[in-house]
Amino acid sequence: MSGSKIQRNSLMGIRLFIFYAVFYLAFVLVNAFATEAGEWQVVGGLNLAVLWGFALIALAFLLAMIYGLFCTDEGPAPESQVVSKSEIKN
Amino acid sequence: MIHEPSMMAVIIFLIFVGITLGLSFYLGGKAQSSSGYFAAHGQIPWFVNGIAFAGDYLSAASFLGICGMIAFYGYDGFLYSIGYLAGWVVALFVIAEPMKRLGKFTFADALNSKFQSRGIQLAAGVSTLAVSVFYLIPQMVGAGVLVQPLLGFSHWHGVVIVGAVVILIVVTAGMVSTTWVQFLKGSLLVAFSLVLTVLILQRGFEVRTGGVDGYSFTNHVIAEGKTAEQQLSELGYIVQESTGNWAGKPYWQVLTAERKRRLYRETSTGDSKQLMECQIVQVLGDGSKLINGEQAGKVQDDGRKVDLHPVGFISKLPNGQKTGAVGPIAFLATLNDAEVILWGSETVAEEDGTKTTVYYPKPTPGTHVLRPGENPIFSGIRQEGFWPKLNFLSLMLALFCGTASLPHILIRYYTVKDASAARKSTIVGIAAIGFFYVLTLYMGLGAMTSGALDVTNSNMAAPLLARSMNEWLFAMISAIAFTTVLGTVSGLILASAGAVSHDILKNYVGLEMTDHEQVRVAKLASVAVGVVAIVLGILFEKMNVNYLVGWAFSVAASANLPSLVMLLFWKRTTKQGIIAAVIVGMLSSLGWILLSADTFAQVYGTSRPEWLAAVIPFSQPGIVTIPLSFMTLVVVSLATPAHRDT
Repeated sequence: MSGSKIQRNSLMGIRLFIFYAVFYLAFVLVNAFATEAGEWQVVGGLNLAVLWGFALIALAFLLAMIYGLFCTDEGPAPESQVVSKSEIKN
Repeated sequence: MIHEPSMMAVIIFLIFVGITLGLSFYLGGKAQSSSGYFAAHGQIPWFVNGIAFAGDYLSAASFLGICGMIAFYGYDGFLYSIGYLAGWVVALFVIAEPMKRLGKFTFADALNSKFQSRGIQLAAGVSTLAVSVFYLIPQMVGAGVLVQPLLGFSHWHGVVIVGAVVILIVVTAGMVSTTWVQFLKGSLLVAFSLVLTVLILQRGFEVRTGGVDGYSFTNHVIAEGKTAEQQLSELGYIVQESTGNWAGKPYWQVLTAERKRRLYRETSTGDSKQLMECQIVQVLGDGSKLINGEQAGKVQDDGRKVDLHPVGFISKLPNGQKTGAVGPIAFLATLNDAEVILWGSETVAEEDGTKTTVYYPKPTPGTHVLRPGENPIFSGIRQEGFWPKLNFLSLMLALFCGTASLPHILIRYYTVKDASAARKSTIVGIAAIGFFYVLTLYMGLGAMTSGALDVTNSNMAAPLLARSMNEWLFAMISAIAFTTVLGTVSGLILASAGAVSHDILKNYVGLEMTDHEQVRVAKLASVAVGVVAIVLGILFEKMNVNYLVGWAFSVAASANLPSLVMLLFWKRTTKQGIIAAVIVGMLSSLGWILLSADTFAQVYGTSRPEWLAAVIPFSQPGIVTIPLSFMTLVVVSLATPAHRDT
């Protein structure tokens, strides 16, 4: 796999990771510091805590699919970079 | 009634074990080389590996622990589901592809790919062992918990059975059979959880006064202007005086007209006060056990043995007494407007050596069941003060960072052929695991309102929920739960065996071994780790499964993740920085856990010295020890010569 393909995939992964991490962080902070907000009835008798929890699970799957669709396939794996025992130094 | 051994469960369990072992012997021929033994020759199809990820990850803690926590406390158990799944985002976007590109057999291979350092091999090998052993303990404890009520064996029998079967699996075929066992287990777990959820929705809700054994708990409203004692006397009970350690507590011991002993608890519900019937377990000074005043296990007139009554029911519904079948959204909306009877417990020690545990009903609004902060672990977020909230943040951080640092998960990236397959299998894993975690909320809440809960054992919520549906489903769910433990323990033992034979003995000690000798040593290491796991599983019998899993996640996230992430994204990282970060992360998280208030209370059973509270003000280490490990790596790397690529 070429270095540029690895970089492109890696950059996309980092961006999606940051997007999800912000969503997760907001969820955790709201639960910790504005706990009552979780009881707010948002829609259809469901409260914010339940909806946000489902949304986090659904978002993880959605982002994973986006990543899978837009990542560049790299072809066969290169030889492992692991060295043999004789190459291991102190 | 709650835990009568089921012959069908035993038969289905034996069939599952037979299939698992048969698969292991059949696939044994494919694992003669170290590449076959540790990494299944990198030939596992990505879809199979993805489901095997689910099989590896959905351990006893996920299935039994989360369902049980939701059944006993509500939404808080779902927080674990959310945290456990979020960790897979780190695994997919940050770790999956580099792990496959950099490594060969173990996590240490990936860390050491650039440096060829014996120190990294040792540090990462020891860290892998530490995390795996901590993760093994709850799995083995879970095995004992399952066997005890289902098959009628003692706890240690369950631990030994699971340990022996797992050792056989790992020794016969290594990663190939482990992967296929995980694939089967992951598929069955998700499929049967879906079946259970559909049945829960079909059943809907019903107002009840007791559990599935038909026993009806009595409650009495205290009339205005009367005391509890007066009310009970008017109802014809003989009220006994509360003396000793019972004095001042809200309990009233009475004798019924039939001379049966009952205990009521005075409870405020809205504007009125009620006397609600409790359940009691007494262990007398001579070791004999009474349940609700009668000898435990004694056969009664109706042929049933004296046992605690199953609990978990709805006491009020918004519209009527029964809902009929409901949809997944209507299920949550209805529960939100209902009232559920949850159960608390309190132990009272008496002067004559009798120890009485009272299980008392707690009428709880549905809105409270579906909000965070009801479980003692998370209740800090509803309290004043900063430390309890920080404790919560710390746990959620450890769950987020821990998944991508678990050795038995990381080694699964070597079983597929390339980085692309590693990515695809992680996506399949996220789909299966995410779907399962959505189902955990329904299974947990279904168990909470099933009338089948064992008030003493939250881990049995999911199997008992299945028993309330039908015996066949109970047998299947129990057998799957056993296989869940088998699968996860197999993966952990393999990761540990790799750390011992490949990282420590071959690459650190420098033991000269041929490929076949390395496999033989790994198999011996598997037996040794398996025996250690059996012993620890017996010793830690009384410990909470989820609590132990929290240890493993915190240690993994602190010791492994910082080094892996910095190796990938910071070119200035040195081997000394990695070694220091792994050691500091591992020791600081372990030290924090061992000196925390929770460990003193739950493990040592003593009070913690005052001065420690100032040093370690909350129990979950992640929010301190993960950044500490990152900082250590940066400081040590900057203080040591930069690595030059050759």
